[in-house]
Amino acid sequence: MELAIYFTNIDRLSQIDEALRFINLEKIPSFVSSAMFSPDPNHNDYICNMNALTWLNVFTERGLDFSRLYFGQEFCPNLIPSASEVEQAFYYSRQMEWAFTYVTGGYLPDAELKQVQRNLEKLAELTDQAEVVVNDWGVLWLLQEHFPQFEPVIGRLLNKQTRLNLFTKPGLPLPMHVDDITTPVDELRTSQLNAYQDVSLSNPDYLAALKSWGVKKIDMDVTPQGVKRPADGWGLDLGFYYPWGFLGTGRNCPTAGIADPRRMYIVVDSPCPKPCRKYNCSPTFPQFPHKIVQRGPTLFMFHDDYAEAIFAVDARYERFIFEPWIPL
Amino acid sequence: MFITFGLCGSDTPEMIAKYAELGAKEFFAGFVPRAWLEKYGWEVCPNRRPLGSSYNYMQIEDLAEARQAAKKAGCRFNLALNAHDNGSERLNDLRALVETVEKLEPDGYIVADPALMFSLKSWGISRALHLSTGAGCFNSAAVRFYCRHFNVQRVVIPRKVTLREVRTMVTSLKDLKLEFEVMIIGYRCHFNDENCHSIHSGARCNLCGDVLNGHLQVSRRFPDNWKDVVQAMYDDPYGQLVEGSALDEFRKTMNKEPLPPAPVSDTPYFARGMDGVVTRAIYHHCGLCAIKELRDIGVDALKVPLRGIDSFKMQSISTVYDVMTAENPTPEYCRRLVNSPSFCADPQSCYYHVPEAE
Repeated sequence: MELAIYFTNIDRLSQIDEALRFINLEKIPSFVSSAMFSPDPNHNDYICNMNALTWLNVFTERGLDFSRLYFGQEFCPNLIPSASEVEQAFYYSRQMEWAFTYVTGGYLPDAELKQVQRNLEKLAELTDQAEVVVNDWGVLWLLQEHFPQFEPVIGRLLNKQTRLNLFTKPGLPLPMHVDDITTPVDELRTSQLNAYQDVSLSNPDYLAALKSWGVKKIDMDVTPQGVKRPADGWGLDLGFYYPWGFLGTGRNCPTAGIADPRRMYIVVDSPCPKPCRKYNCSPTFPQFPHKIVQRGPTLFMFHDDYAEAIFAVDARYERFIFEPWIPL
Repeated sequence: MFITFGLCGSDTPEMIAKYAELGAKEFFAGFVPRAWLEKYGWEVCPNRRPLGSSYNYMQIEDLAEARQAAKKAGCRFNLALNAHDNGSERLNDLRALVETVEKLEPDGYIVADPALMFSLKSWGISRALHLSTGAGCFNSAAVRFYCRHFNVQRVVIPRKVTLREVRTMVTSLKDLKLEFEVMIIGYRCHFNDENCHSIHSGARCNLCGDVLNGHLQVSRRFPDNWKDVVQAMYDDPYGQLVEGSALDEFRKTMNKEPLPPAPVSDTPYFARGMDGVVTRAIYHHCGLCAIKELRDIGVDALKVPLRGIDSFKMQSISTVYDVMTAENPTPEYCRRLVNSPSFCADPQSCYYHVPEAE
């Protein structure tokens, strides 16, 4: 098992000690701490940092420590780090004697893909030993054409497993669309659950293609229903992000909408003023049993009880990617 | 430039003939056979329309009639198989579905999942593929990647792009002789299709609906030293309940300046024309103002994706056809057709940012 830690920008990375500083909130009377952490969904980032550190402790007690830095931006093309930031992050990882993974994003119009190319060129000046997380097939094309020395890791945005399957838990009276279906509801739900645990990666033709492209690793989100991984693990190393998985993302952004309401709905053809560096804007989701928060354009879910399995001693995956903050 | 039009399970050959008469040149449809439905229900759908029978054909005979009607009208007919994720256990069912549909000789398949594209290849299916929005082609390199491996005829450009980005992509892919398609009317989706991992169900609210209808909370991000405040609470919890404590100072810092308001989209009042909300019930979202530039860019197909929406199909095709064939469809021209200044003044109505329309 390898422990990686993930930062999206150099400011956050420079505060890594703070990110990993644990204080036991349970020792603080709730009527005091509630003055700081209100029911505001935007505060989940902070309170969940503390909760996640508790779970991280499970690994550190087993003697594991971080040995890899993930660095980059998956969700917002306006926040792609500069080549200079990639360089600083790389040197930080070298100083810590950690391996380095450059994380690329899922929304890369041609202009932003050029920025990623510049970052890869900078990385190529520094090393030929890096991994690159691929969340857009255009990045895999770039790697194949120009940077074959880097190892591609298929990112979670290219793993399309349904994250929040609200309808498929057998035994629960959750609403579903039965129309005039005659199959008993629980049998149907069991089939649906099986389907949502099975992913495209299990397709032998696709898997063979991935391997022929030099893919040896794949990163995924933890999902409430879990994922069916065969005994041979697909022949790929599997990484899980924790504690934040994403449910949906877009290029329209409510936080950017604070500065320009059009950005809540559409992509505006001018630079984003990035109010996300100061504010956050999230809907509230009182009807969902999990902690859900929108950060920037992306809806994230905190992995709570259903993620316990990944902390088991015999859990079958190869990399734990710790997100001290919501990765935006 | 031509219109490609989404069919519902209830669209009859007569209606298809009428759609063609009004300007549709191509149709696409979904097919969910009864056996699939009894096994997986609507929630696991092969084409991302899990909302019930109105969205899909369910009898192969009905689909065959629709296909025949399209052919008779001189129109192409494609089948949507654009689920994002298709695990191997579903492959036998998908293969059975495809082999059934193959007998109808569709012109192509609309696909999103590269795994399924590899399966189609290994099943010997060589028909043209249309890369769905779900394939997430935001850049020309991604398109080249797909074209290297599959028989791609068309790229459906994702919904959330700028016209400048469309121009860059289309121009830089001229050597590949591809067709390009954009969405132009109908529901835009709050999250991008290719990266939305909840599911719709007719039986409850959808996640995106909850986002759009829910209360938006704006908050200031915590200062970098917020853990010092937590430490102070830990060390001396009751000592925080006085003026000047770390907690008190933290709260004051957070509240010093008023928060900006959450983004809200007003549908303003105009005495003339139709009310904006009523108009939204017809168009949902509208990209008519962008058609002129999209045509100049060289986009080939305008998608009117009204599967599952029985009403206003005729009006929607006519309106899009009118703009598409007009010599100079300026924003003013389009707005006259829509006849709702209230709808057009509301930013949530738009599909694309069209600077000329501002």
